[in-house]
Amino acid sequence: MRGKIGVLKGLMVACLMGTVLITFTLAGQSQEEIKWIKLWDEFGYTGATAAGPAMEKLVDAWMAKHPNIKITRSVLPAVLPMRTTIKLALTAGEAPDLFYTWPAAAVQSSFAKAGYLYDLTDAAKKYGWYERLPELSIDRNSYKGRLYGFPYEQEYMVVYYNKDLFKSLALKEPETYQEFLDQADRIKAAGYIPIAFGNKAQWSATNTLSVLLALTAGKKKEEQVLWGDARWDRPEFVDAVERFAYWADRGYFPMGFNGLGYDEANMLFFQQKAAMNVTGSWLMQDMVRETRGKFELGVFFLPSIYKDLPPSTMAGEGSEWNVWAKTRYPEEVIDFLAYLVSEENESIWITEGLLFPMADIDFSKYPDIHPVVRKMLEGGQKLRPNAVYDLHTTIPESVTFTLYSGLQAVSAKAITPEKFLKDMQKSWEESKELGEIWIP
Amino acid sequence: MSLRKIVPYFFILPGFLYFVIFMLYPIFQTVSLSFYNWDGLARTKQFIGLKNYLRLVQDPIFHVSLSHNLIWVALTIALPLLIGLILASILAGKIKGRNVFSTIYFIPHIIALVVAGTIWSWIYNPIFGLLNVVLKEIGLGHLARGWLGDPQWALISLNMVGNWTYFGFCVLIFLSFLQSVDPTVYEAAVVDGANSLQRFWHITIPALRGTIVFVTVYSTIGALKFFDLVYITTRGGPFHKTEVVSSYMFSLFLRQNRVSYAASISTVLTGIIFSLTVTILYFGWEKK
Repeated sequence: MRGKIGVLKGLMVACLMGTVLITFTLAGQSQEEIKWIKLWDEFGYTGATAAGPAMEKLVDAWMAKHPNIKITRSVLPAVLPMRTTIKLALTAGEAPDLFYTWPAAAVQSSFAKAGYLYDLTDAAKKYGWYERLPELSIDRNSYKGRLYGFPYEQEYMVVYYNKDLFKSLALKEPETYQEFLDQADRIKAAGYIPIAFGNKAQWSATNTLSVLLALTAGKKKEEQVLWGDARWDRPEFVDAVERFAYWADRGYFPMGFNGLGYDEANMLFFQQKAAMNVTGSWLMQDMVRETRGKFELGVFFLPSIYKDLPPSTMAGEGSEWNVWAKTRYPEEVIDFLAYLVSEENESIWITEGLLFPMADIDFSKYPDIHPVVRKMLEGGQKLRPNAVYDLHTTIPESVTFTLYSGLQAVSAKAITPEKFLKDMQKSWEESKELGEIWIP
Repeated sequence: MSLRKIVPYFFILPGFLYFVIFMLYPIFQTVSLSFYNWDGLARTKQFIGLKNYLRLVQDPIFHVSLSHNLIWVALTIALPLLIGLILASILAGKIKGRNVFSTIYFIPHIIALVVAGTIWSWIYNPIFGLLNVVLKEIGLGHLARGWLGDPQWALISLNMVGNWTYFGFCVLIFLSFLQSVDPTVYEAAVVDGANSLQRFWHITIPALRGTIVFVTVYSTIGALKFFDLVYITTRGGPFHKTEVVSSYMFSLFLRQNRVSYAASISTVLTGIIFSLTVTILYFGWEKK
């Protein structure tokens, strides 16, 4: 009996040693043969920037060409989760090797300043990125002259509308701002919600304000505030905020819009309860998919208000690609990034993800593109030279906090537009003292 | 020292080490951080002494947030605690299905606040939420509101959700202690002609004094530090109408890069919770 127990013990020890040996051998082999790249992006299948199909295809294609490199991909929903999660990951030293996040300008600069981002300047020179990106986008993604991000989506604020509903109400695309207001009144009188708008997450109002600033202040006057010494409570800015408050007061938005989520508000448009949706081209994937078979989708840019200001809108670059400064495989990661953003792969992003890179698109190459998408991008590209900036992707986070809550207060008539902009000025000055303001 | 005396310390050592490493040390770190200026990203911090605390004294958003927490404390004591006490008193009597009722009341408490917030966000939805739809169906459409988006109703609406998840816990705690009260005391009171209200006031309340103090302390601490319900439903909006200290801290820490200032708020909040707890315990415990 003792002998049998002894043999059993010996077998157990041998199995244990063998397991340990095999594990370390395999691990050793894995470390030598397989390189793991961690990737975080925002490309889901619904919601903002729903270019998931394109991203998945490109990741698979690149891995097929590089069998010794595996990419583990995590999709964080666009807007807020990525923005807060990536900061934690960077400061904790557990960041992904490559990530697609926002905003650029002030926030990205703070990451670059603290040494969390990999300098992409040499890669940009090698792959010709500087020739492909607009100058301002390069500025917004640089810190002290070095490039740290590659912005990858051209975005514009537009007005999507339900063409069928417009027809039934004998409405057409407005050619003037007053026509737009009159039509909104008629839509409301007919029992529909004029504009689908949900501001629970607080950033939606920022985009709406930005598009109004394009039409009351214009790019130059906005730049005087953002990079110069002009004040936030200048008359043109008050004008824009007053117009935003007017929309709210006039009942153009759904009831309780400050407690309604962005996706919930979009649903009102898809369910044909709302006639228009003033939001960005980042939603075009959902717009095309959700309206197919339900109603005919239309789009227009908000008409000019003043004759001395050129037609304009808000334009941005969506999110940008960044590489973690401490990535173990910088060459491989940059090679992968270069592949993702290469000109040869633009067609995949456009046709399969409805995502449009930062370059003038030749739509003759894409005859099957949805007409609304084409109209939106062609129009946006024409307006881009005079377009204003997306405020909350340009200003520091502390000022954005004041912007978000202030617009909720203004839309609920809790404070006046003047008070809101004075608060913005105060917040701006505090941020300036702390050196947080980004200037190109 | 004999082994017998030393051995118990070895058993409590892991728990103590856990407390020191994961609770005491972070608390000291947070307090220390509050004396610096740090954005959470820079490699170095700048010592600024008490400036963060001076700023806090003048910060209107902090004041509003704290007032919301104190309102929450008052409403939590007034509603779920009181309702829990009354329901427990009723269930402690000869009621059929007592266990079924107490289970049903407790179910909301086991739902995570994040889930509860999501569910109630849909119920409160101003367009297609159940509440407004029902109000319209029964001819009370004029009472339909934006609820979570209405500055006057947002905090109360949120508090109702919190109360809904919490009152069942109060019922259970009070019921379990009530069942230990000698029933002959109630019988004697009945013989002496005491009505139900008198029995509740003169027998039940004194008997549950310690439990009431415990639940009050527990509720106060919870009401001062809760976060998830606000974050999931309103993010502190509209324009800080549902902002509480923890949601403001979250925003300062993760969004605004005011890490040290958030640390000072955290320190002050800890002090407030500690002071209130000691006060309630001091006045609440029966002195012998």
